[in-house]
Amino acid sequence: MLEVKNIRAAYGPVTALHDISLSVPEGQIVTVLGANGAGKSTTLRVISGLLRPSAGTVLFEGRPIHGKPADWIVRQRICHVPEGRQIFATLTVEANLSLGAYTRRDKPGIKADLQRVFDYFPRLAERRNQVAGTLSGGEQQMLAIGRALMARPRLLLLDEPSLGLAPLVVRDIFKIIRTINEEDRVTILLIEQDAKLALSVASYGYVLETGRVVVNEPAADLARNETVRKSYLGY
Amino acid sequence: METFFDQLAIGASTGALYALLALALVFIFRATDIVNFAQGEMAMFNTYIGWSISRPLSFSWIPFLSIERHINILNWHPEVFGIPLFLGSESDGSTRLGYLLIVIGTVAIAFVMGGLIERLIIRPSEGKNLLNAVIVTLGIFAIVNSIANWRYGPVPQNYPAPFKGNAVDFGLFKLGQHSLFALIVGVAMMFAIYVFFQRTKLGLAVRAAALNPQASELMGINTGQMLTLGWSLAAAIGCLAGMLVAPSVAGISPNLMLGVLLYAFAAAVLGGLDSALGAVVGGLAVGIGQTMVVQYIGSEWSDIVAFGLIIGILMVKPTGIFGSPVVKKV
Amino acid sequence: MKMTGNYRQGIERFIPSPAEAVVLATLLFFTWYLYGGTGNDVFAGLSTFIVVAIAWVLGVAIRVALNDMRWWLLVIALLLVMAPWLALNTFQIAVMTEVLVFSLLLHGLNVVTGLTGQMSLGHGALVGLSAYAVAILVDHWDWPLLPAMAAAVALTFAFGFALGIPALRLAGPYLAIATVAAALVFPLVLKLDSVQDYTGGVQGLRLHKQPQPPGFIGGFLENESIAKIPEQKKFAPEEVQVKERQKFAQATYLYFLCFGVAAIGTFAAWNLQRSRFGRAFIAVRDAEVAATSMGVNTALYKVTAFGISALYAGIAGALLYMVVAFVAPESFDLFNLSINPIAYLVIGGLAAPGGAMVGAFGYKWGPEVIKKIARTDTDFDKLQGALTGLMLIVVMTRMPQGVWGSLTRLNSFSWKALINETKAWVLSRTIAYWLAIALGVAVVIAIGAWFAPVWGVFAAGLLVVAPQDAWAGVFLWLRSLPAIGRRRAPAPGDAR
Repeated sequence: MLEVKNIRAAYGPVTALHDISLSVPEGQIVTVLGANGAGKSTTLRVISGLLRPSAGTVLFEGRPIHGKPADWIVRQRICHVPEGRQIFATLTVEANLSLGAYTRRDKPGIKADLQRVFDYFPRLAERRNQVAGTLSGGEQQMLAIGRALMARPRLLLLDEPSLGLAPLVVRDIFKIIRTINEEDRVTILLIEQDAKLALSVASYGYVLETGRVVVNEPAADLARNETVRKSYLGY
Repeated sequence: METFFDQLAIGASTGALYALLALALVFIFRATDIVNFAQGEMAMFNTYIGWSISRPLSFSWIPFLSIERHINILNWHPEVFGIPLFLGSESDGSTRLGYLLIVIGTVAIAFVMGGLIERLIIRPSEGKNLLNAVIVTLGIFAIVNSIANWRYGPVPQNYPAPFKGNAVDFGLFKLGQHSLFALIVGVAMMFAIYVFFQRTKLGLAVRAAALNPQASELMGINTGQMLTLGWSLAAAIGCLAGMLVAPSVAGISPNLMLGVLLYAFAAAVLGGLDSALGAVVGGLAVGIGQTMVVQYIGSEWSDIVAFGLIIGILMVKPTGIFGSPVVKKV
Repeated sequence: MKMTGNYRQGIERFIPSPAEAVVLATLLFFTWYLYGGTGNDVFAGLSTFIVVAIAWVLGVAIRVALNDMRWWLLVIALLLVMAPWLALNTFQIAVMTEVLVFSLLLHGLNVVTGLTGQMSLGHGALVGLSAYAVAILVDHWDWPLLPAMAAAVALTFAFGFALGIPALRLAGPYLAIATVAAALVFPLVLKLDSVQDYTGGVQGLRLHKQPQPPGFIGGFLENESIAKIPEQKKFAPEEVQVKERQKFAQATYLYFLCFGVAAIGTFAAWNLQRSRFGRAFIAVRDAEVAATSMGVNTALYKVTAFGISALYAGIAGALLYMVVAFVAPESFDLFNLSINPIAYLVIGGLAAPGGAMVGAFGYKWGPEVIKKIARTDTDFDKLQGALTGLMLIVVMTRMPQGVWGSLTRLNSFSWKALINETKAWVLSRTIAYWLAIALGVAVVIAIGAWFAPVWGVFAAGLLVVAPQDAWAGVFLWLRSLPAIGRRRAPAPGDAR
């Protein structure tokens, strides 16, 4: 579904990605692992159009999408839940969610999706008129994921959904991520610090180091691979 | 006591105009963090455009577009809500655009101009030092002011107003027809703005783009377009304010909006630069305060009180009354 | 100031970089207008061309020898010392004197705005406070000028400190508006009935006795002034000529008085920026919270910055009154002394003493030159503001670091990188894009042939919207002229 081929990207003079290639087959969860600064988030930023790659191609269903503006890419129903959640802090939960459906015109569909998001995250339904900045970290993460779901994505890019959350909340969120994948047939590209957790839901894994792919294997193999675990994943 | 209520009403009417311009300032500030010092001058120039299209039409040099002749031949008198679109003058046989058409045309031009200014001048200076952007708006100020001086001259010109009749007596107070009109239009505009930002998807998107541009892009919002839209709207609102101010002072001149802009700044700061509600409340407060000071203390004190008030308010509440506190991050 | 970075090598050292070329061209343009334009003295104009040419050759030689750009400072200092002799008449000397005075104001603004990052648009009020303090002390209480000036500066300094305390609480735009309000209130207060006895109301106050050059200096200066007597007065009666000489001597004396103060002020500003204080100011600007947590007393530094800034503004105000010998509320309107100085400071370049100097020069001379051009065309006169505004916008969008900022980076500039970038940019556009551009240019030429002002609009539009790389295209073309430069191997660490 998504093919990333040999992309390079830089922030000003600093090259963050040297040569990244990865592919995400339809209907699966693929995870990208690596240490801080390995280029995981940058890869997602390139895919979602926030950063223009200096070389390489990104193909979505065979069509090139690299270098296109971010709002165009969202309209191809690729949704990015960014690092640090980036919710609209002074807007209400409901306004945040309706912004997620900005690209859509079908009112009944939006209404149904809103209901489904509330089914996934009942906490959000309770706080629908509350200002988003007052939510707890876990609720904000739920809101960020829910907001992305409102666009009815075909490919969901998740950037560290567990960052800064309590273990119980993380478990809930990962349960929902799996549900989204299995029931809604949403393909997911997941970035995680917690490699063990990520590999437990993913079917395939990539390990990045300093802007390059160093290992790519099915998730089960990766979890068993002693050397990779010791040298890159650290558990 | 009667004068008091009269002054109150006049103050509210002036205040509504200040509030409109202050709202324009607030839009731009919220969308781009820029304090737009050129807001008043943009409004002044657009008001001049309204003035030039309000003069007798003469399209005789365009052979096929002789509107004048067509109107006269067909004896065509289109009306919208009872307001004629074209006005004929028996004395010299000339035809003018009716007030409604002037307003629509001018606001449309202002809308386009605001967007163009954002695209061509503000966009290249964005993302650098905040001070740079402010200096750029000062540059726009200087350019627009001097072009208006060059093109239209410093002499005030008469400006069309739809209602020029006697004051309307409300019992408690009397209010001139134009002031009443300005008050009504001002309040209606504020309501329209409220509806746009609170009740429409596009308004929500503009707000989101101002709050967090990157996240907005991930929602599929074209943030660049939203910024342009913000500037366009601000220019249109400012232009409307200018068209209401011009008839109530001596007429239109290149310095028309200078004083108004300063009071609008006072209003915006009073309410908090990032608060639309604050702009409205601040505008009314400054307008009423100004007329009261002129009435009961002396006209030379009105500016001093207004600007003293800005400083005083900021000393007590550094981000205005309704402004959200500035959060400093490492 | 030794420039670190990459130096150009070989023959390229003798080619002015774009920024240098801009400065040289500006210098030439100014001298041409001031000398050639007056028609008074063609040779004076010619000799200035020669002066500039020699300065360039000397400068390049010195730069080659020192491998840095200290030569610019040398040239500037030399030109400043020679200014009264280079000037054509006493009026030009007076303008140069004001340049020096305003450079002090801009140094002060720089401390608050450039180093500490607080936007103050109200320094006109501080200048006015100082000027009026001197004027009232001299006029009302018959103080001698010098003690009055000292007292006024001290007063402004104290006031600036006091002003800094409320300013602590205000963030960015709010401070800007509060200071604008202060600048607006100041002239209004002067006109109030209750204070008119002191301030003279709208009429303002006049200084009746400017400082006179002491005997031998006066004599020397009067001798020097012979060449400066205007053409039409060359054959005037003796007493008229004597008067002209005295005027010159007086103006030159004031010039050098201000020169001394400005030199000290500039040196102090330079040192301040490099001192512990300067670094603390910058820390407050760039990362206030981090600075606080590292033990920088941000409040103290902000207040100090305001104090220092007010000190400079006070000195500038006192000198201004001495030089102009007149104050009136109109002098302190919002644009004249509050907004224009900061605009020109940003044009000159923030956070660098050189930027303040360049800004002061532009502030006084820009309008003069525009007025001079305006004399040939009456309508042009009304577009003065438009030209100033256009300049502001162009500098802010194309040179956000200001003139000085781009100057100091000129030695690390590499033609090669520029060419490569230009090539990449040209190739990144489609043929249709270039066809559209060509079509647009053709249309402009066609209309321009019929209606000349279109050219002006086109040029202005190009300045505003043309991407930086389009300018590079012009340089690229210049570079392709034969035999200017040869290919060379890239030096290690060459900017790319």
